[in-house]
Amino acid sequence: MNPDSDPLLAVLRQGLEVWEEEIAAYWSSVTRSPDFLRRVGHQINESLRAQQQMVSALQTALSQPGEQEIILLQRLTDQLTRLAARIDQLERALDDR
Amino acid sequence: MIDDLFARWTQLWDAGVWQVWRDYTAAQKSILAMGRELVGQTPADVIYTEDHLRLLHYHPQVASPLPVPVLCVPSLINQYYVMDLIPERSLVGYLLAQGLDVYMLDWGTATEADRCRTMDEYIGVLLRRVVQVIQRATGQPTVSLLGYCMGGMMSLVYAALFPAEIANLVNLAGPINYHDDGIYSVWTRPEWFDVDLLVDTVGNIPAALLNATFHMVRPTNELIQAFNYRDRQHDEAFMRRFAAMQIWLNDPIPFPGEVFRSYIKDLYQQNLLLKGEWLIGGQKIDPRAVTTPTLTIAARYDHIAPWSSVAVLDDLIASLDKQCIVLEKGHIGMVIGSDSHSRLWPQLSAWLSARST
Repeated sequence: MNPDSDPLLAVLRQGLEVWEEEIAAYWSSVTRSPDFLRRVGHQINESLRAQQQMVSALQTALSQPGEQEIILLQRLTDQLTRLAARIDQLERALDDR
Repeated sequence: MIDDLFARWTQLWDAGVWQVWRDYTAAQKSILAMGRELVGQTPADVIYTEDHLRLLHYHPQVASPLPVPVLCVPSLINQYYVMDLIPERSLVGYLLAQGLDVYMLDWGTATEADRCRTMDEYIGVLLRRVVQVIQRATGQPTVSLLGYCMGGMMSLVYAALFPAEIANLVNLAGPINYHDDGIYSVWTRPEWFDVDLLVDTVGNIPAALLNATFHMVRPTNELIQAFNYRDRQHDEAFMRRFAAMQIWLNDPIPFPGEVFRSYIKDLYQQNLLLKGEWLIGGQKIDPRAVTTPTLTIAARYDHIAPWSSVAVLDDLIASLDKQCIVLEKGHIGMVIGSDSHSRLWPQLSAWLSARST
């Protein structure tokens, strides 16, 4: 729809643009405030620590006798796969030097 | 103030913004699908691959292109096709039409195997290998680097490490100073941002997290985009540009974990590049030692790489042949904006062409 053919829409857009400029300026001042950033940073860090703990706890809780070893073996396998890919990358890099 | 803003928001929403927003979000999928079909269409051959990385050689558009090849180096976190957005807004296409021989580095999408890759490896090994492939393919001893955003910074580092391989350097919005009033400089300060904890927990920084961060800079801008769509959805030329931009903006790639750690700690938190103390490939990178002919292009309204933090390169380097252009644009508009075609690209192309013989 062309805004010229809908004056109400044109007025609405104009109002929204003015509002958006103001809210953007407000948002910018909030997201630059050290107090706000410290609080958000704290929450993010807490979430990340919780994520680390949950992964660790989940692995322990789910394991029956013998399963802990299977999980550890799986993690080892994953790490070895990553390591193999990395060695592969480095070997190719060395070959070309 | 916030009470007034919320009250006005409610009025605007009820007055019809809700309808515009509903239509826009309903059309999102088809807009993105349309954009996906349009981007990166300039004909090219893939002449080298390594893991996810690809090196594209665009088909020359003149019988005898200028001899010195140009390698476009994009950011590691955004898709390369911003420099070849759509045929009518393609920086690559423009350079080809002016007789330049153009290559593009597509870093590809980082996976778990790239988590431990370092900045040393991206610049000193991968970028180097790509430059060597171009040298072999063209028989030219030197290559021009055209880096955009983070790619501009990486190109500068490359020119510092291997000056004999680089004919010219174009830094398009690549920040050199990281201690400024830019929003990312503020958000990544060590007082509230623990990059070690983040990388140790998630590894590569997920594309969705990066995307959310980009949108957080000005989340309400999306409402203006909804009105742009509403007003001009039947304008085909507009919709092509709009859809291509939308897909690019919503198509980030994961940031390799260790590179992110170094990028934040060494640059955003310690500003080592500006100080001439950043260690890459065992060497201290000092922009002051760079003598490569250099064109620096900054954008006055760039909220990602503030113009003064880009333009400072022109003051720092030792090059005798250097020029700095500051455009009245934003970070993305400078590359694909409506007047880039008529203003920036001719200047950039003329500068490169004069130094590509």
